[in-house]
Amino acid sequence: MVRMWGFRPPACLGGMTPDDWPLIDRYLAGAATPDEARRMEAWLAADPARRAWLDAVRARVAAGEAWNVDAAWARVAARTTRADRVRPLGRPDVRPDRTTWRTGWRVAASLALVAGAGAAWRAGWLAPRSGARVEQVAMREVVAPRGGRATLRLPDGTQVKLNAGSRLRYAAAGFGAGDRDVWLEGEGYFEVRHDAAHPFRVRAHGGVAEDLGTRFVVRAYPEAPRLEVMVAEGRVALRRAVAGGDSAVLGAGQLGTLAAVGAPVVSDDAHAERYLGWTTGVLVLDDVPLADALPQLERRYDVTIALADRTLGARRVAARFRDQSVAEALDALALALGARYERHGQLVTFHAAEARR
Amino acid sequence: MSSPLPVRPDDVRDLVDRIRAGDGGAFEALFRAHYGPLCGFATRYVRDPALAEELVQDLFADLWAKRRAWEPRTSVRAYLFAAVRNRALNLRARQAVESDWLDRETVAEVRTLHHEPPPADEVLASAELHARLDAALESLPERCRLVMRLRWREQLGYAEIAEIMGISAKGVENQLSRGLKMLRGVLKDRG
Repeated sequence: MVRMWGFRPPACLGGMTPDDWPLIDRYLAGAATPDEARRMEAWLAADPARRAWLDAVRARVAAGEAWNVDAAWARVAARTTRADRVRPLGRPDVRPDRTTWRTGWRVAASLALVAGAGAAWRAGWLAPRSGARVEQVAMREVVAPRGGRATLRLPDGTQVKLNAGSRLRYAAAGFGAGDRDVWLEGEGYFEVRHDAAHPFRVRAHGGVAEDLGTRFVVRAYPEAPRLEVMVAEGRVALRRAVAGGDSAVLGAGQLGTLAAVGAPVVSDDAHAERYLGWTTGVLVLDDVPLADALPQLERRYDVTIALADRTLGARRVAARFRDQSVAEALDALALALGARYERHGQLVTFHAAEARR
Repeated sequence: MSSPLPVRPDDVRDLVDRIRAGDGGAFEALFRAHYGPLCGFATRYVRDPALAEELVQDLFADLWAKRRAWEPRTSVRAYLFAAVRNRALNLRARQAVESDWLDRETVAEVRTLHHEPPPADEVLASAELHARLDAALESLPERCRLVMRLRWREQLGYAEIAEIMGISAKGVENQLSRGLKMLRGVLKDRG
């Protein structure tokens, strides 16, 4: 793309001179007062070359790079509980790693009681080594980067897709020889090779979804303390991980929900595409409050979204995104919400439209 | 452009206290919030993204191990960026490769830009704008580019940047003034 523009005759705009560098500096640093920002905007609007110049400066000096924070965090978390060094990073998106049940994983919920007070138990990886008697099993972990997805085939032939920012763990050696247990944080789609002798179970949020011959999605994000299972084909059994609870068998098109307490709830009228859409690259928001949709949008586009006006969070959104860029998706959202947004790198702030500067 | 990153000192204070008390969730939040920017910054020194990542991960692992003694003086971000710079400089000193990085950071390259000012009616393709900006940036010392990055990408204050780079606040102002004037020179309208 080559855009052409001509130079305009000099114009005096809002008292800004070309050498008013502190103003440009504060504008670029996000520290300009509303009045300064207005002066700067007027100066930029007077000549397309100025806007292009500023964008180019930003692209050079303030451009963001992509880093796989999830994988990096997994490594640091592992190092904080293990004396030995973790092996070097493999491929950036699908990261096999030796680790233990204790490191960075919610299945270690029982450790909460051992680790003691405060939020220290949260991820389990702070549990004192001596305090926990947990079977040492070498686990393999796969992390789908924010802004992307991961596809993998387990040793037993099961096909898995992981949604943005989700992670899956399974035994690094001998998977498929006995019971096939995998641990999920986030959202995964499973196309299981059914084998009644070696049950396939997805464990997440204290629940278990067991394959009875099927394709299904399990959703268990940290921000929502419930396990949801949407069955695309076949049947899935849903129950609590601890023994003695009720179990529900879900058929195709049925949604099973397991909350923090109570028996599994089965629903027949759930919107299947809302759960299955991402497996084909579609993000479906079907009339949900913006606040509920934010985590999905943040993971999908690898941005952090803030709401300057809290009332925005209650506004409902219906949207379908497939190939849209971040900017297109944000534009569409702003339009639908009657809001506007500012974007600084990965940070996006939505403002109610009436609160114009 | 009215809303810079909201940094509320109380929250940051609280975060530090929680980490010192052994709160893993707070530590993870700190890591996730700063990992990318710190890696980008470190890469400017060590030139190798993988090495930069290793350096930043080492920093956080050490920080956790020594969390009880952690006492950032001014801001948490300034502490983290300063620690990354120190480690990067140490790494380079240990490796003793190429010329001393501090020299490269401090001494301006003497190359000048050789281009005629375009006629007033000349049209400029965006490719040329980009090439000239690259040339302008190239002519600036690395320290100046780093200060601009900390200011415009990380949106840090003068005092924080001064702490990170080991220079005075006046020095930060000088670097920004010099850098911006050089970049401003690329845009030929004198509006």
